[in-house]
Amino acid sequence: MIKLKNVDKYVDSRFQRTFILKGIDLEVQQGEFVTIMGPSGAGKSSIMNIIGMLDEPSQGEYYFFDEPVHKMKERKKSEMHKHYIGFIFQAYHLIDELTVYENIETPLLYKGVKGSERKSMVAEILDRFQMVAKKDLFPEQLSGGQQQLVGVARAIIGQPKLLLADEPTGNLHSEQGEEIMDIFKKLNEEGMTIIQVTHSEKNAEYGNRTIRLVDGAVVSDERKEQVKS
Amino acid sequence: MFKILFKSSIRFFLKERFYSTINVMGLALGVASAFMIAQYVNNELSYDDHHPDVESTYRVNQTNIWSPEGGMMGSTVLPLAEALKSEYSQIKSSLRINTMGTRVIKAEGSAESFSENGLLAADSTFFDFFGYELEYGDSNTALDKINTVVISHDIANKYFGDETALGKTLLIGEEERAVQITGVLKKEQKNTHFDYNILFSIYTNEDCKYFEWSWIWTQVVTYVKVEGDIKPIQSSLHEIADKYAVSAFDRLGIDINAFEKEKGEITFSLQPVKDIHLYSREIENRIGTDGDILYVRIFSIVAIVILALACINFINLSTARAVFRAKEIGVKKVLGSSKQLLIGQLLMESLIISVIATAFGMGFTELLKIGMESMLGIFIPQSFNTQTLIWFFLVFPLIIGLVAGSYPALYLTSYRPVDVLKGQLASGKGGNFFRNGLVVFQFVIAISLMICTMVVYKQLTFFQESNMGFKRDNVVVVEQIERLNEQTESFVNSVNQLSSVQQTMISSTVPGFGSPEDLFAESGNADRKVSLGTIKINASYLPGLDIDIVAGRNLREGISEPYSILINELAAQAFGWTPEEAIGKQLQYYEPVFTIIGVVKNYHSSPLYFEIAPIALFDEQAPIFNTSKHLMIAVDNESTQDLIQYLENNWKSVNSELPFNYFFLDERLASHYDNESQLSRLFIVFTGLALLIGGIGLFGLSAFVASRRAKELGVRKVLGATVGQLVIMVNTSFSKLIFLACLIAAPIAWWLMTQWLQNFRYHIDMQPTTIFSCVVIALIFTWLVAGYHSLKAAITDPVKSLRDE
Repeated sequence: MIKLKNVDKYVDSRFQRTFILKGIDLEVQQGEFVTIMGPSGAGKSSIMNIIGMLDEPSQGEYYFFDEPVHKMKERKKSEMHKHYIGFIFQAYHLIDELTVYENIETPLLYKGVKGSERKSMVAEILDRFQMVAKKDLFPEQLSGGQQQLVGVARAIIGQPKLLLADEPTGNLHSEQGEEIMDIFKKLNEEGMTIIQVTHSEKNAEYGNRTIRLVDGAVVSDERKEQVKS
Repeated sequence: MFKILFKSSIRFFLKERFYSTINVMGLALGVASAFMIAQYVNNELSYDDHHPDVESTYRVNQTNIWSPEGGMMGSTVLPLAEALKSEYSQIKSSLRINTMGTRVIKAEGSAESFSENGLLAADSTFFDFFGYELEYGDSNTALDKINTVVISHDIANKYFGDETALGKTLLIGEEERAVQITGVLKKEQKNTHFDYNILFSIYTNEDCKYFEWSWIWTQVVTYVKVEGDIKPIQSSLHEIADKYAVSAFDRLGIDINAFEKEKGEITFSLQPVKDIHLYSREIENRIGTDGDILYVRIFSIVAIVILALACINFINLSTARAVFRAKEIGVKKVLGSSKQLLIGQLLMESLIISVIATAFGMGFTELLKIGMESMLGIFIPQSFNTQTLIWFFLVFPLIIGLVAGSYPALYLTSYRPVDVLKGQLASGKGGNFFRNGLVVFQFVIAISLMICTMVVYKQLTFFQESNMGFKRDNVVVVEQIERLNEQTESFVNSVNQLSSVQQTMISSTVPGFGSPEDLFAESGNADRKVSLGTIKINASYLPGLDIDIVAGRNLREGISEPYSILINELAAQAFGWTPEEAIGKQLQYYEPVFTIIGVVKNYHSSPLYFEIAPIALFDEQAPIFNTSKHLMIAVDNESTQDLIQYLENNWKSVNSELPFNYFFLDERLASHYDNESQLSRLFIVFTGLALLIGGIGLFGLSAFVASRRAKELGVRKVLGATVGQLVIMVNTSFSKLIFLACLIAAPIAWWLMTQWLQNFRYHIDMQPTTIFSCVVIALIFTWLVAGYHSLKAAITDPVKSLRDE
C-alpha cells in the first residue's frame, strides 16, 4: 500500500545541508497497525507528513497504492486526502467555529456526500462514540479527551484506507488515552491501516509493527507475531 | 456546503467582534464618504442635460471689456443675437436673458410688498432653449407679449397663497407697472446653470428696448441654436463687432478702434451650454453661480482615496489576523478542501463584511449629510434615482468585497498546512513589510489632506481677516436708500440722531464689492486715458472708513462739489503723477471735467481675488452714472440688535411700503469667499474621515501587534523593563511609520498647495511651520491611538503572558 524508496528530507542552509530523514525505505501493507517511535528530532513527524502528503520528500520516491505521489499535483493530493487518508493530531485541530456535529460532517461535505446519507453517517458515528448529547457543543466546551474523540470521529467518517495519528494521546491523561487506543485497535481489526507516532511503549503495544527512528534513519523494524489466531 | 461555510463565517465574525467591528466601521466610513461624494459629483454633472437639443445650444461669450485683466464674460449686448442670425444661416434661433436686478414687487390689491432680487427677463424663445416645466400656463406663448411674467411655485405661494396665480397681476417697482402672470413653474426643476424665481418677457424691462442699439450695454446673456458644425462660425466671430458695432459706437461719439485699443478687442466665442456649469472658471456668469470641474475631480479622487484607505484597513487587519485564521485553513486543507473552495470562503466573508459595511455606510451618508447641512451649511442633494441606488447597493459591495478580500484570501490560503499545524507560521518579514507599506500609504494620504486643509483654512482666514485698507467692523449697511426718493435725507437725519451711531457714510457702491469702471482722459491730453473705478461718496466716507488722504484734501462737509474728485495712489501712478503732482490736474469723462482735489491711500475696493484697481471718488451730486446710494453706519460695538430695530422702525416711518434691507459689512465681505470657505469645510470633513479611518486601522493593528508581542513584553518585564519603556518601545515602531509617511506627504502637499495658492492674486506663503504642526499632530494622534493597546499589553501581569497553554 505504501512504498517509500530511498527517501531523503533535508533543509539547505547557506553552508550546509541538514538531513531530517536519510535513505528511508519503508513498505506498509494494507491492514497493518504501525507505530513509529524515536527520540525528539528523529524525524517521526516528518515521515508522517510525507506519508500524509502534507510535505514532499526532498529526494526519493513515494508510491501510494502504486501511484507515484512524488509526481502528483496539488489537486490530486487534495483528492487523496478526501478519499484515502484520515488525520488525527496531538493538538486535535478541530475547527473552533463549528459544532461537534459540523466538525465531523466537514470531510463528507468535501467528499460531496448527499444530505440524508451524511446525516445518517454522522448520527451513526456519534452514536458509536456516545457523543450524541454533545453534538451541538463547540470544541472549547469539551474536555481534551472528548475533543480527541471528535478528532478521531472526523478522521474516520470518510472511511479512509489509511489513518495517520501523530501523538494522538500526547495531550491526554492515561484513561482518555486508553480509550482512544482501544478505538484504534478496533478500527484496525475492522481492516483499517493505521500509522501512529508515539512516545509511549504502552501505546505501541496496541500495534503489530514498531519502527524506531534515530537521526532520520530507521534503526529497527519489529513485527509482533500474531499469537492468537 | 454553502450553508456550513456561511455559518462558520458568521460565527467567526461574531467571535472576533472587536476586529469585525473595526473592519465594518472602517469600511462603512469609507463607503459613506465615497457615496456622499458620488452624490455631489452626480449632482454637479447633472447640470443642463435636460434641455431640448442641448447638444446644439451654445452660449455666446464676449471678451470682457470691463475688466482691466481682460478674459471672457458671459454677458453680451442686446443687438448681438440679431446680428448673429443675419450673419450665419446656421443660426436659426436665439435667446437673450437680461438681468433686471432688484425690484419691489407686490400683488395687485395687496398692501404688502417685497424686494425681489435676481429678476430675469427673457425672449419668448426661452422655453424652446431651456427645459423648464410649467405647472400652469402655456410655455409656447407665456413670454410672447410685453408685461408678462412667469413665476416659480414658491413665488406664487408667497404672493397668492393657495389661490391660482395664473392670470393675476403683479405691480413692479415704484412706478407700479402692471404685469400679468402667464405661467407658474413646477416646484421641482432640474439643475440649470442659472436660477430664477421671476422671469419677465424681455421688453417688460424698458431698458431692453432703450438700449437695443447699444454695443456696450452688456447686460444680457445670449444663447443660440446652431445647425451643423460650429467651427466656421467660431473662427469668424471676431468680424461681427467691426461689421455691426461701428455705427453704435459712432452714435456715442467713440471711435471703435480707439475703444478696442484701450479695452481689448471685442470678439465672441460659442460655448456649449452643457459645459457652462463646470467649465467656466474664467468666464463670468451673470445669472447664476458656476461649479468647477476642478473640484469635481478633486473630490472624485478624494472619494477613491478614502475608499482605498478603508479597503487597506480591511486588507491589513485580515492579513495581520492570518495567524488566528491559519489553523482552520490548514485543517480544512488536510481534510481535503481545495484551495479554490477556501478562497471562496474567505471572499464570501469579506463580501459579508462589505455588504454590512455598505448598509451602514448608506446610513452614515445620511447622518453625515445631515451633520454637514446643519453644521457646515453644505447641502448635497440626493441626485440618484432608486434604480441607480439599488444597482449601487448590489454592485458596490461586490467590488469592495473582491478588492479588499482577494489579497487576504490569497495570502491565507498560500500557507502550507504542515507549517500551520506545527504552529510554525512564519510571521513573514514580507508580510510585515507589506502591512507597514499600507499603513504608510494611509497616513501619507491622511497627512497630505491635513496639510492641504490647514493651508486652505489659512488662506481663507487671510481672505476674511486681512486688512483691506478700510474699517469694516461694526458697520451696518442699509441698501439702496435712494429708493426713498425725497425722504432719503430725512431718513439719514433720523439715523444720525441715534445715540449709538458714530457716523453715517453714503456711497454708490459698498467698499470691497468693486465699482463700475470707465475710461477717463487727462484734460487736454485725450490720448492719456485710464480706466478708473467710479464711486460716489459723501464727505464722511473717507474718515468714517479710516481711509487716509495722502495728498490734498477731502470733500467738504455740507457743500456740494460736483466737479471735485479724489483718486487713489494707483490712479495717480497710472497717469504718471506723484500724489502731490496730481492735485489740481483735471480729468475728462465725455463732457464733464473733474478737478483732482486729493489722493487717497490705495485700498481694496474689490474682493481680494483681484488686484487693487485705480479708482476715482466723486461727490454725491457729480454728473456721472450710477444713482445707487448705500448708507453705511458706523456703530458702537454693543446693542446692534436694538439699533437694527430702530433703523427698521425709522425706515418704516419714512416709507412703510418699501422693504428694509441691511447687512453687516464684515459679514458680507466674508461671504465673498464662500467658495473657499466651503472648500475648507469640506476638506475638514474629509481629513477627519481619513484620519478616523487610518486611526481605526492603526488601533486594530496595534491591538494585534500588542497581542503578538505579549510574550516578548512579558520577558522584558521580568528582566526589569518599566511600563513606560515598554510603551515607548511598542509605539516607536508605529511612530517610525508615521514619520516616514510625513516625509513623503510633506513635499506632495507642499507642491499641491503651492499650485493652488497661485490661483490667488493675494495669498499666504507656504510655511514650514504648517507642515511641522501637522507632523506633530499626526504623531500625537498615533501615540494616542496606538498607546491604548501598548499600555494595556505593558501593564499585563507577565505571569499571564508567559504561561504556556
